[in-house]
Amino acid sequence: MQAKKIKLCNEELLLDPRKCIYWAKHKALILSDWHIGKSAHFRKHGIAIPQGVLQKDLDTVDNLLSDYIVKEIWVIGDMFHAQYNSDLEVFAVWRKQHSDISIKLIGGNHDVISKKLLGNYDIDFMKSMLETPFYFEHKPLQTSAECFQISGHIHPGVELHGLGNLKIKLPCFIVGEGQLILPAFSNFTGLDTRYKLEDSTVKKYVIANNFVELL
Amino acid sequence: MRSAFANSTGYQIIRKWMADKKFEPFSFQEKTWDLYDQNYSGMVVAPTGFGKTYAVFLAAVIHFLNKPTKYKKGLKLMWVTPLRSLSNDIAKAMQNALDEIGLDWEVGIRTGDISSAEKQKQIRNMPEIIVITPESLHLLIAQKKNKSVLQNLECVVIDEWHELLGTKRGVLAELGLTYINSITKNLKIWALTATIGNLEEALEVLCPYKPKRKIVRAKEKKKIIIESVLPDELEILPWAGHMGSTMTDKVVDIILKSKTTLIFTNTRNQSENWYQNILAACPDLAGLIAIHHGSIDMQLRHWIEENLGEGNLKAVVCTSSLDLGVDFKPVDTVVQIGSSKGIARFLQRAGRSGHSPFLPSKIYFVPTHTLEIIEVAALKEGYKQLAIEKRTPYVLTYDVLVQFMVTVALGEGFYEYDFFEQIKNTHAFAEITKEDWHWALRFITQGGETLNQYEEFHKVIKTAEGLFKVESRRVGMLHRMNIGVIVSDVMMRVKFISGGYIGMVEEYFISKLKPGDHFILAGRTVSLVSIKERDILVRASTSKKAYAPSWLGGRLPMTSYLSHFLRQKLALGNKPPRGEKEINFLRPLFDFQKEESHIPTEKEFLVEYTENRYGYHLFFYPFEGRLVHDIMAAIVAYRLGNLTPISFSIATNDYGFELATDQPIAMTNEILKTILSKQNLANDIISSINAAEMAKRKFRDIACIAGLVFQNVRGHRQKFKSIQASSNLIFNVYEDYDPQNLLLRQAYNEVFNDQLEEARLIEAFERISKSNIIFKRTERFTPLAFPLKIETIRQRLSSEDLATRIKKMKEVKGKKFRRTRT
Repeated sequence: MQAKKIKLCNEELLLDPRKCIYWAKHKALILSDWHIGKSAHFRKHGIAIPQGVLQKDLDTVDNLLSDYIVKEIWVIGDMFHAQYNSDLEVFAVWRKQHSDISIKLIGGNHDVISKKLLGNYDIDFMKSMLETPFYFEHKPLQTSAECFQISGHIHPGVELHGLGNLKIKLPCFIVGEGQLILPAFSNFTGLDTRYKLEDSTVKKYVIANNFVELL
Repeated sequence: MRSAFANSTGYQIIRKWMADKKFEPFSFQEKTWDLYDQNYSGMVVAPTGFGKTYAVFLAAVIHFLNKPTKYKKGLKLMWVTPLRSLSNDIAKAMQNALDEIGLDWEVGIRTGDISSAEKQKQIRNMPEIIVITPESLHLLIAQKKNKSVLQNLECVVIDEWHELLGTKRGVLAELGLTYINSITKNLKIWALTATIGNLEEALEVLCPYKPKRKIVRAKEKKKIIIESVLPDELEILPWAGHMGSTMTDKVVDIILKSKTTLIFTNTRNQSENWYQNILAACPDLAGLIAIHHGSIDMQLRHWIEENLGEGNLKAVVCTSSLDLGVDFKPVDTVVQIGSSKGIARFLQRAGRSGHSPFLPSKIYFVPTHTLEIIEVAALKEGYKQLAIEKRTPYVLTYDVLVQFMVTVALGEGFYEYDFFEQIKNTHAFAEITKEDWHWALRFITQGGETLNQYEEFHKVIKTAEGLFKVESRRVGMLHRMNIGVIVSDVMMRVKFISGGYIGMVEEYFISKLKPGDHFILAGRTVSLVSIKERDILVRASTSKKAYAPSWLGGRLPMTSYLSHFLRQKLALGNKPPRGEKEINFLRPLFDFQKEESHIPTEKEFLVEYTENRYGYHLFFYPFEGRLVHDIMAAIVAYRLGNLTPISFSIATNDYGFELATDQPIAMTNEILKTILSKQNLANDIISSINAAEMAKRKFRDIACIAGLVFQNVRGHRQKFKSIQASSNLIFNVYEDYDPQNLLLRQAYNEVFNDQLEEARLIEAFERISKSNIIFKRTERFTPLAFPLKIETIRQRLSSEDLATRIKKMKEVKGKKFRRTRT
């Protein structure tokens, strides 16, 4: 795995190809749109999605935890896809094994799970968070905020074109003026390649299997 | 005919009714009546316009008149029609006949166009005859207590069986039939069909469990006159749709000199454009021509059909929406615009004209690009040799099976053992194994193999008595809304802001428009005002510049029969002129092709290579039809990728395929021999299908049919948003975590079975390996290459690592950027 080092507001961040950011200063792993419980939610509605989906995401987090020194995980929204379901049992077991790590959840539109459960899982819930110089909120703000915003929600992707009508579609980080949008962390999510920032300085960091590259 | 039958009351009544109308029954009709009277099932084969409907419908009436005491109250005859637009006319014709005969039966219609209140009324008081679509039949089976409605059926008729056979809707019909057969006594099953290449098989698929069955063939033949409409000047570079406008005047002439004309186009998009063109060329036709396709408001369609039948319209531009069934008597001329893709389809369309059985049918073929002119010659040859295509039935379609299992679980429910026997009775699932059956049961009760211990999955419940049924109302509602096997993009309703509904367009089309943009639908120009949920609000517009919506899908591949004749006709381009009008007309194109490249004879195989600023292009011309080319292209691309790391985008059409890439290809005869070799074909097929993600495309339909992706959440978009995932995503998840999933396996099998036509593919490679391979470097795109070059639907295949690909694409992006700045 080859993370990409970038500097934002004089802070050093690592963009990891596993679709998250590592901020060494806080020993924090920052990710968004984890959608825990999505596969079980589908099953509950009669759509057969195998359970391995969640396990793979948990394995990815485990790998990240062994690659970086992590004290905190910050989830920028949509950590949980729906209400309580059987996937959360699996998550609960995992959470117990990592009780030394604190988890902060900045609520997203999907996060409707009860505060009591969040308490059980030892997750700090908040609507937004300020950790200078960054401001964290699930949905990217349309108007420019006073602080540099880090968000998710969009599941950004990019379509690359080559000669001979060649084309590939990959997830990416979007960095624009005053904001960064994280790709969706979960492997059971789609991509939005149409999302546009009205911003000429916008940069896209494309994620290709095991490395991150600026386009 | 047996004399006892000839003397029967029923027969006498019908003969008298016909005599009063000065009708003389055809012998195939009388034969059908007699067989029906002896409790036969069977299939009636006759050309359009010869009264197939009367063959079976009157058989049922005679049978009743002869044995009225054997009948119980309620539904007696079910008439399954593939097109709901047909149901009106069929029902009307039957009701008229019944009234005249003096039998107090009622004919009801039960299709997607009937309101649910009306349907409820029907359930309480069933008419004697019901006209229904396969989908509505399944909806009926999904109703509680449908058994009491269906159990007294005497006969089920499948109309236009040739149209259903070879599609998943055919499997729906098979399953519906076996279900009804299981709850009735002595059910007769009949089908009506046009001529196809595999009639014996068609009958076997219809009712394998009815040993008493026969095919009744009409001896009568219909003569067809095929006339090609050629442009005044030949465009050397053919280009889809390009020729359209210059041909409009000629089509207008045909309309004006005929009584009533049906103009068939291949896509809804084409029909919209042609309607506009014709009106612009001849404004006098306003009000006298109409446009008819599947995305137009139902009421408008009914109005058109009625007026067509009454001779009030001079012409109707339509798609396959008017392909079948009803005979509009005033129609004396048919125009086919663009390739019909098959001989059988072309002849059926021709049969829509000259309604009287004894008059010849006349069809004009209007090519939309130059190469299609060769097709007319090929079609004529095919008709001469009566090479009518087969319709190969689907087997082991697990997606349709799991859908049907939930359907029955939602209705009466089922017991495992009995139901398995019922399913095995069908042709489609005769080969299903116990293991596969158990997988399907687990899939609908537990969500498949890997989640056995998860109690939250409860689509279908097994009760203590062993009855499988659906209990959740939400599951039931979603299932009912999504019954059927026709998968399309999300459709949105187009409405006037002042009220009034026009029709439907696909979401992806509208996503490209901005408010204020103009588009045409149902022949009207409108401008987009706003989009609300699934409604698109528009107002009328007089703008001359408007987009015609395109609807995905509906691109028929050419059949192997037709492509065979096409190859033959193309080779004529090498020979000195003979009598064939079309071939002579194309002479300048042939000369150009010869000059720039080469015209392959039947013993040659042509490969062209062109370099230009858009990339590096290889063109191959097997003339095997698009489906075979899809796979051939993937194999050749895969083999090239084994020689060197390379990425391709692949375009195919019915004539050949293109491999485009971003690096020069040093082609040699050695390499050509290797990539076109028949050696190691079996392995390379599997590897290339995987590499080109063809199964993923097949999975799109499968996921919808099996209820993994919902097409239709009618008004509950928000509510079901959290359970919407793309079929691609689910495909990937299955590949990773549930590779044994039968639906996944089905996707691969479908690539093989209905696409690959393995025998045909092997034959093609055999033919190529015996051919003399001609390799030509060309400066420009040739007439053969051009239509491929502009093909927008492409699949992609790569043997390069991602890092290299991204690097190259970044360079291209940089170059483009510089170009726009200077």
